[in-house]
Amino acid sequence: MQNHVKRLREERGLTQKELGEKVGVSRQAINAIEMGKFDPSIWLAYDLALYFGISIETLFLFKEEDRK
Amino acid sequence: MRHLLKNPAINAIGLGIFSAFYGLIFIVTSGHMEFENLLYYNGATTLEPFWTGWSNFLASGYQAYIAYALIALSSVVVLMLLKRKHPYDEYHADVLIQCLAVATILTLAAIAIFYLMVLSNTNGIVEKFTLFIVIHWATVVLADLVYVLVCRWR
Repeated sequence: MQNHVKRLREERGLTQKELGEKVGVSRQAINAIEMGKFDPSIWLAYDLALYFGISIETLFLFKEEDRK
Repeated sequence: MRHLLKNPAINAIGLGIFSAFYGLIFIVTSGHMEFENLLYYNGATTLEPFWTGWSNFLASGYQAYIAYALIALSSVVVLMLLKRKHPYDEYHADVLIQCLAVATILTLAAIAIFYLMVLSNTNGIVEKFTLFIVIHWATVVLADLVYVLVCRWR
């Protein structure tokens, strides 16, 4: 799923590891989310959106073709 | 379920019990006279060299070496799991589910193939089922090994 996690993380000068620590997941999880390989749970999406101070639908691009 | 998968100790206990069970059977049957008597192809001169060879291998008690190899591999996986300081996260749980799904698909395929083999020739069912267990056991251990290696670096 496409998202703005990487851009927002880099704007804040954070590494994947640091962002992972802030939301309680591994660097690999952040990397997989940024690459669009892994769709986070609603709670992780919420934590990321809360950290960046934006809504979930702004952080993640909900496209109909991505619906599983 | 995912909550359990995130705990490395649960995975370690599961794999440990799984390998201990089959390991015990393989080691106890190794060189056991009664097990040897159950083997159909042992010493037989048939047109099925693969099953004759496998049967002779089992009759010689060499399945113990398979058990030692898979127990050693399982021990490495269990140690890596127990050494882990942090619990796995939801991404890791997702990777574990994928690894176990591959092991399950391969096991289901093996069940179908071995069922057809037994139906086509019911002789040597002990040899055939033992080979199936070796494939099943190795698949599960290797799937878990791939998982711990992929998720090793937090």
